[in-house]
Amino acid sequence: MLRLYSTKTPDEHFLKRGAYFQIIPKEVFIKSIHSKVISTSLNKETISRLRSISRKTLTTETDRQCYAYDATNMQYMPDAIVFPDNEEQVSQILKLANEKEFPVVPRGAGSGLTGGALAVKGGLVVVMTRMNQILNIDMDNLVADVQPGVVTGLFHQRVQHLGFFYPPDPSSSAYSTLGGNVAECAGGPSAVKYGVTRDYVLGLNVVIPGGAIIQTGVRTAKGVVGYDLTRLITGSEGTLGIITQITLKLLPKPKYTQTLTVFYPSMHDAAKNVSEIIRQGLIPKTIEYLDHAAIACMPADLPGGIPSEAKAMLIIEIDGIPEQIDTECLQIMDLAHQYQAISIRKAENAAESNAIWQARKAISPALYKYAPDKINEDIVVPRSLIPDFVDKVDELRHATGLTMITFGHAGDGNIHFTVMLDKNDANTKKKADLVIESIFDYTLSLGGTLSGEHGIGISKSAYLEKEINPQTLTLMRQIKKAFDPKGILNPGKIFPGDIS
Amino acid sequence: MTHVNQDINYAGKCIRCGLCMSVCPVYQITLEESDVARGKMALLEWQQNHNHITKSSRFKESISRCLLCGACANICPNQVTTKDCIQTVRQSIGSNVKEKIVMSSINTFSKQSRSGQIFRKSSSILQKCVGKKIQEQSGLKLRFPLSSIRGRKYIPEIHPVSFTSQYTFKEQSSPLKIMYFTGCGANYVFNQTAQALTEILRKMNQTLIAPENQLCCGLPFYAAGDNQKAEMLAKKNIDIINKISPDLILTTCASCGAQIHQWQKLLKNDPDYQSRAVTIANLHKDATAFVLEKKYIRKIFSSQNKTIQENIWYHHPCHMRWGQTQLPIPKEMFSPFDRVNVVYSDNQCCGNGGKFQISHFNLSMKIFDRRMDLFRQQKIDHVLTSCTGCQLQFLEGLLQNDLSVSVMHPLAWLYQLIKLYY
Repeated sequence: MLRLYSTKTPDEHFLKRGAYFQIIPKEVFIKSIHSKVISTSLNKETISRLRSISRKTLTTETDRQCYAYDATNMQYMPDAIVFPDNEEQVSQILKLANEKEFPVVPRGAGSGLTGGALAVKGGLVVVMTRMNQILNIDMDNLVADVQPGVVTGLFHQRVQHLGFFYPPDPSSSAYSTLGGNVAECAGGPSAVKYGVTRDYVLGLNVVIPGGAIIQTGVRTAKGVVGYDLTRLITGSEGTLGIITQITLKLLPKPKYTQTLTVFYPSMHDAAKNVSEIIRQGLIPKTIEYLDHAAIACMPADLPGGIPSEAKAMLIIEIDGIPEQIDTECLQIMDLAHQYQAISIRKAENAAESNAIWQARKAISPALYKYAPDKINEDIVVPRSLIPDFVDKVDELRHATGLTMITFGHAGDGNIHFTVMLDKNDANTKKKADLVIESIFDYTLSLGGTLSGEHGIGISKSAYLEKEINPQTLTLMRQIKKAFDPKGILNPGKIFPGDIS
Repeated sequence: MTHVNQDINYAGKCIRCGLCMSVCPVYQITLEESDVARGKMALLEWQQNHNHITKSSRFKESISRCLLCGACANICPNQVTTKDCIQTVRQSIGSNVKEKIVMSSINTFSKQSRSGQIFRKSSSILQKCVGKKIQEQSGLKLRFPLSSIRGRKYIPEIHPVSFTSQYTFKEQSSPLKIMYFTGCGANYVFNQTAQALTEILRKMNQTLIAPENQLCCGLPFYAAGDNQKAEMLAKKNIDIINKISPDLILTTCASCGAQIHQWQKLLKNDPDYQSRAVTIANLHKDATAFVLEKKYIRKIFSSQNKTIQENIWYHHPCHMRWGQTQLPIPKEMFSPFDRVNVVYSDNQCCGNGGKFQISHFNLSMKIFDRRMDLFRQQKIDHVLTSCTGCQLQFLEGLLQNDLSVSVMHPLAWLYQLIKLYY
């Protein structure tokens, strides 16, 4: 089966007349396919009522196939797709859903990595991409009001143009939406200094099942009136309500940034260096680290090159005013020397740092050169314990012989632990599952958490009980029930055992 | 220790990461998954897995809603060539009736034979008869469309006599044997481009050979999935080119240029033609790039020109932006002109996409209009672009926006200036 991939270039696959449909055996692609239609709840009558709410309601097989996946590359067919244009329509949709009891799955750009936007129980996918207006940017109070469908990268551009800064920057920012970022509490490389999406959400408009429109939070720097529902809904993965408007906090744009690349002879040295940098009170905007397998995915023309004996790499970015940057840069370089750095290099200009970041963002997809399937976990451990985690990965790698890659946001302890494999190889798959399980156990034993920024969705729900005790989980289920008594909103997500 | 196994290449498999959404001109208007590369790949893989080809109208529509601009393949981390997949699927599902009529007109139009001549002549006459009833607007000759396509404002003025049939060259004085592959655009519609190139080359002491019997490059048919027709045209063109055996082949249309490079893939079942196609592709060069390479502009405008004051909108065609025929933006061309202000920020497909503009006119115009905010701010005098499709799209799009701006090939613009000063 693999040979089919290896012997031909994609062009050869597709250019051969008519050959497209025969070349790759179907087992290769099939992940999990649920094409079962829950026609009882979403019948013709309901569909026509949906159409009267929003004319943009799709039901053809083609459209349903196009909304069956997200960036996890798993497939679950929804029964219909609707594109609301405003809050009122969202409210009516949820009212109808509650009445007819069909599942509703909110979706932004569908770029999530844990299956948050998958219609695992069929039903209606509510695509928020058409509600994509930046409603207001308050330049005096540094607050912005946006609709959920605004693409994060476009929002970055817009606020930067005005001299502001919205720090959360997930790798997918060029296409993911702010609504999706809030629902999953997206992170990014600058979390070590600037935090994650949660730290920038001041308030929300949310439609809850039944159709009620609630308003949470404030438009001010402080606010302690009532329960903090904003924080509860941020990161709730579309299980509590559909976000229809977001009030975001902005920062003034830092004047300068400086990128450094440092290579080390061992992962251990790099990890210890990270802890020391922060312990000394230097808080860079970003400290990204890459192990040797991830370094192998970097392009050869990386500015400054890659030393052949490098086993680990840090990308450090400092921002602020020039004098401060210069001092911090010297301190960091000095520390790097103490930790056996092979080479330390300051990016000479914006183009160079751009090239470095491009190379960093390209790692995740480039890993497919190792194998056709990827298991990607974004665990977090206390920063000082990264060396222990790295040792554990080495141990597991030796024990199993699997291809494992670690890279990620070392500054905040968020590690993208990745296993590359061929899922059709049952033996390998079994080994990988065991590895993931022991990685999770080890992470928790270090005082870490199972997911830093991707969420639980369906990918990690089976492991939730490892981290959250039964009493807490019961309370969480009660909260879910208070918002969504009929369980229509994004069913099968987060809570273990709900997907079957 | 993990090693990269160089023998295994998993590229070409879509992982649904969604990066293509950040560049797809169609998706950015419709915001629907069925319009973006990963959606189309999902549809194709679904059909493959279930071993059946749907011919539902919605599926066909999705497949037809692709400009083949190649932006997705350029950014794809796994090198998925969606453009080629779409082309292949178009082959197997065929076109709808409207498209068939248009394709067959293009077919007849581009024929050198008697039927082609009659077709061109008659459409030109018809244009004149019907066109006269319509007043001239915005300085551009507005021709009322004879086709059934509603909402259109621009119909190109067709020259009944093609450029190549008029063109004769007397002496072979240049050391290089240069053939001009005119393409249908310069041959029948934008004659000024062809004239500009021949005149500029004459001044450079180079003569061109422009054989009258050369045919359409075949791209419109290839893009529509009619490989048979495209192959036939490629073979005939190869024969014609081989007869001349030039040292260099110049094109003034980025799309024709790209298609010349596509011939070798198209003819892969015919090793003889394929190897000839490879040789021909190696001889090909874009005409503007050739003129710049010879430093001709610097020779003729040796001192900085401070009198010409113009605002130019430069559009780089997709067929030059990436792929085998990738070329840098010819900024050098404007360097002798101190007071010529060039806007280069137009970095997305114009929305033409050949057949796409015919089947999805409104969508195509929306894609075009994305640049209009910036365009209006700039008080543009000329739009320069070196692709027939892009030129037609700007002519149509600007008229739709009630703007009167001339649209031409960069060499045509250059030749205007040369005429003015020399």
